[in-house]
Amino acid sequence: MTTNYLPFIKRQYFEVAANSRDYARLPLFSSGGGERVILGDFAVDTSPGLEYPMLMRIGILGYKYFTEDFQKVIVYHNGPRHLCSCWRFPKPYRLYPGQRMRAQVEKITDGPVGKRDHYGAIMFNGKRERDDKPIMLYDSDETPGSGGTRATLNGETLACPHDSPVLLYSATIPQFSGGPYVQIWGPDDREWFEATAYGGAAPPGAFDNDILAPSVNPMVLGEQNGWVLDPKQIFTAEFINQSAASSGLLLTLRGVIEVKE
Amino acid sequence: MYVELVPRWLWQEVAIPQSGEVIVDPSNFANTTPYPMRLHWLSICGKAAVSGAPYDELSGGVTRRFNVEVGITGYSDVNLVPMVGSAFFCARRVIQKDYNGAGSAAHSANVFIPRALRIPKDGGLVVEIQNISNPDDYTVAKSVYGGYLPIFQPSIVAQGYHDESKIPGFLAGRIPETLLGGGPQRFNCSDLLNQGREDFIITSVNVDSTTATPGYLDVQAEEVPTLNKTAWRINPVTGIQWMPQPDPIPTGCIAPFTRTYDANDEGPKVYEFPKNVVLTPRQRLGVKFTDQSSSAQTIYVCLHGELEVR
Repeated sequence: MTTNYLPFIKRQYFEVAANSRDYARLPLFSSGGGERVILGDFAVDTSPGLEYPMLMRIGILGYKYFTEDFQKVIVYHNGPRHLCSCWRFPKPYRLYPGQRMRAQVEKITDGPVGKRDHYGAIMFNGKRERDDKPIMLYDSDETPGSGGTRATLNGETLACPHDSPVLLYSATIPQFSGGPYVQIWGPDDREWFEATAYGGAAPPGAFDNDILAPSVNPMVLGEQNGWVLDPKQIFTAEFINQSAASSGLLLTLRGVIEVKE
Repeated sequence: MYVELVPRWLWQEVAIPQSGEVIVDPSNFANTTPYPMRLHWLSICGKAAVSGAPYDELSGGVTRRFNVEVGITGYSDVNLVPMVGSAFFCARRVIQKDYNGAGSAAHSANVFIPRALRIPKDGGLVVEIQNISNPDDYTVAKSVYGGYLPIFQPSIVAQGYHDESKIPGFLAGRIPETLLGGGPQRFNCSDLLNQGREDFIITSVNVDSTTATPGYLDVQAEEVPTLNKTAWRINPVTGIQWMPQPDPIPTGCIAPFTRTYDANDEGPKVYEFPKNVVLTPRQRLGVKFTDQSSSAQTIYVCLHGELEVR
């Protein structure tokens, strides 16, 4: 029996009313299974201009919150941003011979580089486990199409080679900031990304976008800081909006689930 | 022998005369402890530059209008590194912040610490903050920050974990009102204290920062961070002080690797010492600045190192 690490991204959008207090809905931030859950990072995107009056505290359900008082959201953000939509997994995901990745990305409208922006593409960076040689699993749809249409990518070049498992370290799409919708399926057809809107709030246009690179700096969690949870434990965050205007909150929690295979 | 490394920040405000030179007061950069001090970097920050300003006029900016020489006393005054600010003060972009719309204040500054810091069971942090800007600067800017002054409820978050149980945690504090001008103010928060059961290991420290907006603060053509508007003094409750000087240190000096927008020369900029440069007890660091602009300018200089406490 070996251990594998399934990447996951949980994203939810909700609105905190003016001068009120609300918390991130709990079920979405549960892992839903596995042996252990390693949380990689957490990003909170607020309505522009409302970063200052928005306060947050973080905890694990079943423990208390880690601070009694609420702190400003921006001060939690301590991670670097990548210059393209690249997500490095906290632990590599192992793909076996005979298995294949599958993805769907959205083509975007004309950009400064012309037709290339119509293409949809994805790339997984990794190495062959047998001989440690680097390998890329990638696919692109080079058929010019109108912006907004989605390309399904499941070509042969997304398949694991026949002679060695592959350890995948990151997923990358070629756009950044306003990039396309993206969804990734593992070989068991499990969706890697889940996104939900709550409370009847209309998600912003970027709700599905930039899931590999949230539009604000993330807060680094990580195994090195003790963010290893039992599957029954649930990450939770509570907010206070001190502003006289309601504010949308886009929360992105990323990590890996440890599973036995 | 057990060696504990204790971080140390020493700083000074330096007024560089027009077309002249100045040697910083070496008593400010002296190792007054009985322990060797391993040097990591020298950081500078100052006022943001006006976009497109000519090189030979004072227009803010700290990187391209002076020369710097650095040395350790006891050999000669200045002997170690001569440099032009723009050439050798190379900042790394550790943090790349995004702009969340016009007037955004979505920035924090990462206080760069070379290694994790241990806070004992009965310890904690004592944090002071001072508004070192002209408060008038902010009256106009208020309208672009959603009605809030930029130094509104300053916060600090130190992230880490508990040493034995490995449970994550935070030491954090917030002043629940706008920070006005005047003397430093101390954070009065129980969240800044350890819980008393096990040591806490700090892996990252973030503090509030502010952002200038076009036409409001320094009459910028671009939106730039203003890491010289607030100053911090962060010390442990017990043990050797990290920032022993009485005045808080400007944000840009303690967060020198925080980069947001690099066009306007604001800094902070950093000179990293080679490995194993040590100030022995009673030694001092000498720093000389030579101004190349046509008028005087004021910058903040900060030395960061670690005491090897035996």
